[in-house]
Amino acid sequence: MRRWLALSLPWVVWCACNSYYYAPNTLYTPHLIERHDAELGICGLRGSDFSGFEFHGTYAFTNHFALMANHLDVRGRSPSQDRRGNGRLSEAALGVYFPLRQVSNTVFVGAGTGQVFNEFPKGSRATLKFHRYFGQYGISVEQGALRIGTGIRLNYLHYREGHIDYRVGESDVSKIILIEENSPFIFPEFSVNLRIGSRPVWANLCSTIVEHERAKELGWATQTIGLGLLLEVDHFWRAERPKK
Amino acid sequence: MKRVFRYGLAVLLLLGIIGCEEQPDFEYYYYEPEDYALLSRYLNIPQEPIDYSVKLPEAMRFSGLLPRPIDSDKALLGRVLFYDKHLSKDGKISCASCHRQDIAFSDDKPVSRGVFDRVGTRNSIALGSVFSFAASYGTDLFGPDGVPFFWDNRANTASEQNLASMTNPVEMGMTHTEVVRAVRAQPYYGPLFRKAYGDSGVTIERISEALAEFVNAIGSFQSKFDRELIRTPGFGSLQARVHSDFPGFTPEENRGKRIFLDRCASCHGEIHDRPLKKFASNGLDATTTDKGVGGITNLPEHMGTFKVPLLRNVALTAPYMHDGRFATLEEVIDHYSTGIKPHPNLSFELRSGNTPIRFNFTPQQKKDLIAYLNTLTDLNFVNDNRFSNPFK
Repeated sequence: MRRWLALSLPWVVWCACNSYYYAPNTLYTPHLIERHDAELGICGLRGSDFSGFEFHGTYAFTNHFALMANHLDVRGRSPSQDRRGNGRLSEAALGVYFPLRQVSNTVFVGAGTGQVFNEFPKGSRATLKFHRYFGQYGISVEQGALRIGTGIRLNYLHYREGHIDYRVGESDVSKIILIEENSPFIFPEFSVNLRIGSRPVWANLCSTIVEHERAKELGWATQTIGLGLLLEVDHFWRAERPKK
Repeated sequence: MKRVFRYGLAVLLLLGIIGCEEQPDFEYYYYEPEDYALLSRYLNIPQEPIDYSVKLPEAMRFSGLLPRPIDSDKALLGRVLFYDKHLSKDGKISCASCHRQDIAFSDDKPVSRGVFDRVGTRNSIALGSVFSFAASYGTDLFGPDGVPFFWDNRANTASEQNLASMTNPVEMGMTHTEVVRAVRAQPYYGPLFRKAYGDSGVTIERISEALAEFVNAIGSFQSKFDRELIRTPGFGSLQARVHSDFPGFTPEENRGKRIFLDRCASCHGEIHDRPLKKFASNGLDATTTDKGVGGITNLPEHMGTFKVPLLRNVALTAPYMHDGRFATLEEVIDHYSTGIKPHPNLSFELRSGNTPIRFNFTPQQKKDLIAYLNTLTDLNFVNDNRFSNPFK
């Protein structure tokens, strides 16, 4: 319950210099109704010590099948400016969707690749590269100028490569050794998407949380919150969505 | 049906890819490979980081003797600088020439020889005579509790001390500019400076700081005396425990300890943590031949006085006294036994009125005292690779 409550709260905590080895991208729940529906989103993202942006895109290429692509790019810097980090994740997915009046149910499976890079004082660095496979279920409900979406994503996160300077410090080396010893990780993520607007432009507020009992020990960011715009690009080649 | 089949096929394909994932390939490194290749051409240092932090036994920490934190990257750079002969005018002298690790970072000559075989005026002080250089020396952090540097206490910090030695014409004979130029000319310093400072910029301040960091990592606290001091049962401070006989000591060593506590500890300190007097005259001569501390302060009462050294590893650091006049510990003890001269500034512990004290040690007492002083030898320290010459 507390988890779900946290999703609905504005969450801007600026804590001291943590370094992260995973941060969730937004679990995006598209609202797909019929063939050729296409959404394109851009979102500013914030975690506890980092911020960044992400792109989303979905395209329904048949009446029940769709493609999705996501890209995440985040950066962070400690208040004292002596530590910084960045992370990237790019992924693609194939999915099915089942529209039911104003409700869109979507299921996607996909794969992606990413890396996290942390730089510490005196130029010591730790870079981890990973693959992430996922399956997600999302539901999006439209009511007037409001769309609410929620979803669950099951991840298979595999750190495949790491280059770590010992001088990153005992605390971070311990986190990384834990990651190395325990990879791959299978864990769920949950999200809430709130969209306000009307075709073709929606303002989008989204929050995603990671559910893993050792997230802090592993140096994972456990929550991100994003604010962005969503564009239904099919609007530009279709004057009006036919009524179902 | 066909679509479901296609979709199922895609999921199976994904699961197949997941199944083919290899084990994580994590590489932990300290140096970039090309940096390590370069360093390996000149230096014998491991690929892993070396920990220079001073880890005193818990019992010693309780006594309040806390060394300052050590930056291991700077200490390693300092170690290379410490052993590097390029830092001297004739390219033949390094700090280690007069501070040899095998004899507790002292010199076996009465007075040290510097560049172009120039002869100095004083004996090289044993850096390994302290339980922790960083906890003993330096008035920058410890104020009046810190011990200044040189026999005449003229430097307050390790940086001041090493800069003075580099520029002393009879020691290393360089100017600051020449030192910086010499360091810049050596290819192995680039990676070491980057590790220590984040970039390869060479300045005299960085050189001096790194050297200070290395010597601040030096410490001798694993002698037989230390082991016995810590394991001897008793309540209260180490100073209280030291007065009990140590179970692991021989009778000769315990008798020697009692003599030391009775006759010597009022200046040199009971547990060899810090001297109880910063400087004193011990009556080597009746008149002042070397002004010592007085040469810095110009105070008459300081003339002919010198630093009171700590005595850890003293059996390794012959010859003794500021001018290296005594070749053996026996000679030193003979001096205190019957040879103290009536110097005007003679320390009050060594006089009775205006007359120098005669301890008149018996031959057995001398043997006992030497047996005790031998327990201060710390072979772990003098063989510690972290402090050894890194050059090939």
